[in-house]
Amino acid sequence: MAKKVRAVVTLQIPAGKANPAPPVGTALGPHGINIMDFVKSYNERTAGQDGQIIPAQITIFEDRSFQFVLKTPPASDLLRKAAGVTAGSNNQLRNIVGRVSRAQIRQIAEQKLPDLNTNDVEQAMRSIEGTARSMGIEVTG
Amino acid sequence: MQWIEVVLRVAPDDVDAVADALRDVSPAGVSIEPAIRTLDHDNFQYELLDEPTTLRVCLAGPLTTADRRALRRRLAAAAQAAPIAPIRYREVRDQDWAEEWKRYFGVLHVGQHFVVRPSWEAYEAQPGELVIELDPGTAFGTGQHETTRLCLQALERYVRPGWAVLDVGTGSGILAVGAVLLGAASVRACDIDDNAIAAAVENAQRNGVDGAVDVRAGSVGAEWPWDERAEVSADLVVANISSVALNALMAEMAAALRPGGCFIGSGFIESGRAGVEAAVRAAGLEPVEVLEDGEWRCLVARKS
Repeated sequence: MAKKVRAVVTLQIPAGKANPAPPVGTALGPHGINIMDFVKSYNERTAGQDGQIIPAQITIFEDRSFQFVLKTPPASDLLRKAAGVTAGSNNQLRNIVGRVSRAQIRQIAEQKLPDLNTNDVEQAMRSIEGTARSMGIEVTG
Repeated sequence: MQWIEVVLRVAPDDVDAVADALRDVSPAGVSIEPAIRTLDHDNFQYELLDEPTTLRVCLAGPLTTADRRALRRRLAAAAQAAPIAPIRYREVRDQDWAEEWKRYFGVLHVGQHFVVRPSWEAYEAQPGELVIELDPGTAFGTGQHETTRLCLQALERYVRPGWAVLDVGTGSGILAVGAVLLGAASVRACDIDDNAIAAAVENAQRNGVDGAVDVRAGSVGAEWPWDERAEVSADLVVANISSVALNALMAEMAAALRPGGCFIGSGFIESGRAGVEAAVRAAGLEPVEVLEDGEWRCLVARKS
């Protein structure tokens, strides 16, 4: 039987570490879906990717059943790891917190490509470079 | 724990940047809920609307006025496409969200004989049915998840009257209760989650099998909670946990089996199957069959 989509919620959470506490519980609980079922499924499907933020895009139906797909990590998370920094700059114009190479930008762009509105790696690289600048991460080379 | 939910609506073009800023203050994660319009129910199709997207994080409270001002400055700096709307703060209690799903949890028929009945639902059992009355609290195991259903089906096939069962990672206790209803003489059920222990104890009592189900905090190996030794103590071991946990605990779970005993393991998907099968063989067990439901798997093995 066809089901109506009630909501689409994306959770940006650490791989393999979902639990029923916030933000998972507070985001999904009010929609009436079984939180522990999501937690078990997410943790198993992201097993072995510890240390990464793996977004889950969850489609919730009117009968409160759900399905979800995993997305690529946020560009900012990939940039932080590539630059070896823990956080972006509070003032990206004055404070450069780290550096990444063009080759690293390309690598991140290729990884992010499935989730971007383009198949053009060069265009994706420009988008990733923009994110890097906004975080105070300088692109070199 | 006092949680303060921070809710704000931002322009779609600002979502990534503001979500990044929110993850800095809330490493546990961010929830992003865009405005959508359903297009086609038959194909689950919807379109994203060019309207503000709702972002939520939860912070450990309380938040001072200075905390709120600092957060607003940080988020306002991240939003480039449009000024951020006023930020809403709301104190949340566990029961606000932990109980809501129960409104949609109804009677479930699983396998050949099992009926899982929420404790707040009425149900008249039919001849041959085994009814498990359940309130899982915040523990895993309602019968809705594929792995719980697969384990109940496997228990139906393999549990023999009078057997001693070990349930590792019991969660709500649904499998422990199910094993007793199938004729097991005793079940040792353990879990490392205190919420699960409380739920499993209550569910065993609720079903009148608390005399046969012994629930303890712990696991196999170093965290074994019973005085009697674990080795060669069970006719059947069931563990609905995860591929990582199954592989880590396999040697101890296999050691707990008597010769000829049966192992039922689930909580993994197809991509984890080869690893679990390898762990089973390495522990001296012989795979018998793999039950499937969608992407989920349940492996049954024997100890010779």
